[in-house]
Amino acid sequence: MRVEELERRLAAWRVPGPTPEETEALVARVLALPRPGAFRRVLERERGGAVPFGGTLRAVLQVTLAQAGFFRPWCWLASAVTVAGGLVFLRLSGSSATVLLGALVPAITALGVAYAFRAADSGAWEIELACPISPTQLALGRLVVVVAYDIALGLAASLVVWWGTPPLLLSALILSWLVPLLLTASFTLYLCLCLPVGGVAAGVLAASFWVIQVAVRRAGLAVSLFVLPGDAGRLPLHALALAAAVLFGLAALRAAGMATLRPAGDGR
Amino acid sequence: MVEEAVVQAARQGDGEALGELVRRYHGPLLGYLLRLGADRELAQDLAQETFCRVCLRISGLDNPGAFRVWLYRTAHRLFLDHHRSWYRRRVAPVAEPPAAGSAAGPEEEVLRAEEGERVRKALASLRPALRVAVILRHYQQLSLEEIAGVTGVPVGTVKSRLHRAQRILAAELAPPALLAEVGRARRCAGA
Repeated sequence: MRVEELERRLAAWRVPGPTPEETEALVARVLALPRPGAFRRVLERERGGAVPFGGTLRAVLQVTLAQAGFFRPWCWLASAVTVAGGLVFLRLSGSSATVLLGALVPAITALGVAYAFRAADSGAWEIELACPISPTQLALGRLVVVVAYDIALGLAASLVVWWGTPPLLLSALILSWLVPLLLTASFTLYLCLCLPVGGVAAGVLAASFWVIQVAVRRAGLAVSLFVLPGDAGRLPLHALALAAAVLFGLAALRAAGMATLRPAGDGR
Repeated sequence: MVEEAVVQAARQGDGEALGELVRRYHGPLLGYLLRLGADRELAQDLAQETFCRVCLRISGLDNPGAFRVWLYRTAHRLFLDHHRSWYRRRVAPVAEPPAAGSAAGPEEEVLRAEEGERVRKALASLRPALRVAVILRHYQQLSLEEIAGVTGVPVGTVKSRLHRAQRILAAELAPPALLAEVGRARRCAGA
């Protein structure tokens, strides 16, 4: 059969096209989306001229920091009180400070990220879509707010612990909780945005995962991602955890940017 | 208006141009998704998602001439993602009611519908990669280079897929009389 003949035969299979009403409804839906470069245009209009890249960055930072207002004060307070309580417990009980820090800070971060992305259940998705910056930038901004706060808490706690334990290397101590913190943060974000498990379940899952890792290490088993400060032989595990954190984070941010059409009530 | 100019205007945030692109491609894209195997509801959803994504990111499109490839590639990936994420299954084109609006008589309509059904089944018998190539080439009128851009394979692979698909389709769609003749000829050759 020649190609022309085949084409003639194939043309017999026709599929119904959209109605004009369906096309117009789609046009209206598309035109209701934020226009490309809307944020920059708003900035340019307000400032009466071209905005340098630094200016845009500053503006994005302002918008994302404004999200800190979404968090209720008890959220910040609870994190700080938990870390402070842990330090007091250490002083009183004489437990291993490095283990407690390594277990506590990543677990708090997991719960904090889960709390930050509770917006999915609260119908805030439409508000996010209406923002002039993309859902990915918003997700990134909110993540940065939570993670930066928890890193600050972890640093403060590390200084306190390090002060009382002179032979300990501060950088090793920080690394022992910072890498797990990044892993649990991105893992929780992934669970929140990619799997329909809900914010609470995501936070509990990620926090439990990390506490179990620490418990397994405490029990002397090698199959744990937790690395105690100064345990140089297990440093490749840090690299592994860091790579996993990056992968989970990228997958989650991709999901945040793609979910443009999730209907109201079906939010995550 | 030339397509590249429309795309260029849409890149700069012109709502009219965006609307024009949607009107131009809604029908073809829906047809593509239906022929790939989506039912009507899914095809509508995926077409909408495709246009929304494309319109949100159109400012980042460097080459306005590549719009069509980009659009089909986005739809293609969404379709694959949908089936990968929910259930891994062999997707075959589903029977849709034939397009209305023909001036042919009822008898001719029935014959045409039967022929359409035969074509649908013949396409369903192809491997997905071959089916995609045929649909893009014969129904969407994409060039070989454009098909390569949509499916992410070299032009040579597209050519060989089309060649194989055309051979299979020619055999599947051969008239029964011709098949019988071929069979007789084979039997004679064997005897």
